[in-house]
Amino acid sequence: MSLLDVKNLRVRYDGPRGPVWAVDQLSFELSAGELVALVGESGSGKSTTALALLGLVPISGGTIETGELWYEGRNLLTLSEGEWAKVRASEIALVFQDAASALNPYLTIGLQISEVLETHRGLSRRDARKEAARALGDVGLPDPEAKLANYPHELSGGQRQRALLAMALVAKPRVIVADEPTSALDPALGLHVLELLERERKTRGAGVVLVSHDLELVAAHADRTYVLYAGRVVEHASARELFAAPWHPYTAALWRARARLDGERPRRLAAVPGNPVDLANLPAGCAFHPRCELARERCRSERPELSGVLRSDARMSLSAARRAACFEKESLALERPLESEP
Amino acid sequence: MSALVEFVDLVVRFRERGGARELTAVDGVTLALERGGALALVGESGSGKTTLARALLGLVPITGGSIRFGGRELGALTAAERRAVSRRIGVVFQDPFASLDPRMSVAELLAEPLAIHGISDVREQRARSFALLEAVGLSTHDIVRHPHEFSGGQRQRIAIARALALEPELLVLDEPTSALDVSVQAQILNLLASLRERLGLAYLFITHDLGLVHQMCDSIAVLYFGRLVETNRVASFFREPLHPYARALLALARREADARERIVAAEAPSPFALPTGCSFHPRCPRRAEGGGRCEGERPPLLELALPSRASVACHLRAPTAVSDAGNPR
Repeated sequence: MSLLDVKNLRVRYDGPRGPVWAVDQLSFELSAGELVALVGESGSGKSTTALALLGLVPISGGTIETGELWYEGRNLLTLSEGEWAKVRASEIALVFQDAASALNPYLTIGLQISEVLETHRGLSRRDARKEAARALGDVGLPDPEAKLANYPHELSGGQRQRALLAMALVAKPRVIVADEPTSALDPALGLHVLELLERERKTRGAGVVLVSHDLELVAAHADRTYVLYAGRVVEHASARELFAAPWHPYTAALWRARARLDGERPRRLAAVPGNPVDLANLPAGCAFHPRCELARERCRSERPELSGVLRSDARMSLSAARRAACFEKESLALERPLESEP
Repeated sequence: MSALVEFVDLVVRFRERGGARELTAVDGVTLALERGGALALVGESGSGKTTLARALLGLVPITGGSIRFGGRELGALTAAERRAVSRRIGVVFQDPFASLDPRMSVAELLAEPLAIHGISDVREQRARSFALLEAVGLSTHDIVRHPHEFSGGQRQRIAIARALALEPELLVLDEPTSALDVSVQAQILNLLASLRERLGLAYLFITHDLGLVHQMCDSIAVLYFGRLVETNRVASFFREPLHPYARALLALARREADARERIVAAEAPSPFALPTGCSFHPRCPRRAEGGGRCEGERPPLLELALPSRASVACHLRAPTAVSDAGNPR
């Protein structure tokens, strides 16, 4: 059973250049204890999806046109704003990169975390303070007792980020939506944050939706990955399968374009041509076709559906849940892997 | 080859805003960048890598030591001479959204540095601007457009064109791709590589992206709390980094399974209360091997035997080192 089941989500924003659909016909699932990654670039819809999971699309100026968001037998998209507030406080938590804007600058860190504990776990003021200090120590903040009295601006960026994480975790949410949780952090702290998320998954079965543009991060930490382009899922696979042998030309191009840390350096990187997608000016057919080496006539007029590859050999049967939205995926799927292991 | 930029025992101290505490952002750095070379400054936030570059650009006052550019000491120059030197250094910042004035057209954005360079004839400005746009892979039609009409990658191309307008010998590139989409990063790095080949530019990269360092640079300098802990050729560094901190950075970037064991504490110490001895010792998995020296004694930066000419500041490396590379104290 899924912890979270998103079905046919469609989100519209009305901008100066007309309506754009930031997320279009997007479906994905998250199981308890699982880390699922949504990967994509500007305009892919990954951040809008994160907002939708928190019921924040209306506040961001968008409209959910269609879709269902199933959690614990309820479709959350039918909730009132008051009900959403309860879900956000204790069931589905958001951790994002800009910790400065997520913390109240006028309240001490201790007060902000204690408030969560008093309201949602019914702790007394004193117990809440004690628990807040424990939570800060838990995310690796030095001298947590003293940090309780600090205002957000008195902490370093990395410390604020982890204070926010501590605040999200004290409510013991079942689902943690982490939007680029490590990109503002030094590498050792980034790893620490990922370890904390892993602990939440392993010890109490929390599910994590990791929203990222960092392919290496996703390859190393995700169980399954959804690759997004122009608001749609273009590929879905286990993180391991995905980068070992991508089916979608976009995934393959992104993976090849990375600057590597090992081996001979190429004279030039294998850059993806063109610019990231402009939602207000979407091409017909497959949205990736103007940048795709494999694009044919059909790709310019017809949109490929997300589907599996019809093959029965052993390698493919392992990939029952694999999907890609590309007319040429069979030829890519049969190619040799790009490299043995991510 | 001769050195284009030389930092000699450079020290930069800041006083905490409104406070009495002093912070040493750059602490005795001696480092050179060859003409036409590409050097990476690498380290965590607070390592001093940005301050070092800002000192070169004259944006922060120097507390001690000196900086030479093209053999001339910057501190000894008159204001006019200093400005002349500044024109030989172009700068590209991380965020092309913030670094370009949104009210200016591309024509105006490019005319500004050209005018500073003494090219005030409008027709010549136009001709130079077209050449610059072509050099960075933009169309000459783009000259009438404004920054908001471009994607992030295109904006970074405009920022690069602006930096090139002064015909510099050096580009300082502060995280030039980290705000860009993954699919566009490689385009910009390829552009920078071909510009360097064509124009013989030297590059000073400030970055935390070791993939960029591997692809783009000849040499690397690793900073930890204002001190150089390792300088190395890029090829040698990626084969075998010398300093335990550098080893940890590389293991973390490669997401090696034992990366966690390479750095004991995720949190860096406060810059106002730096550890004694080697600043890295509280986070160093090998400090027990130092027999107390790591805690008690600051390791000097020592140059290793030829041919590597790498240098490292680590007591555990000292026996193989042959000469003092500067940075005593």
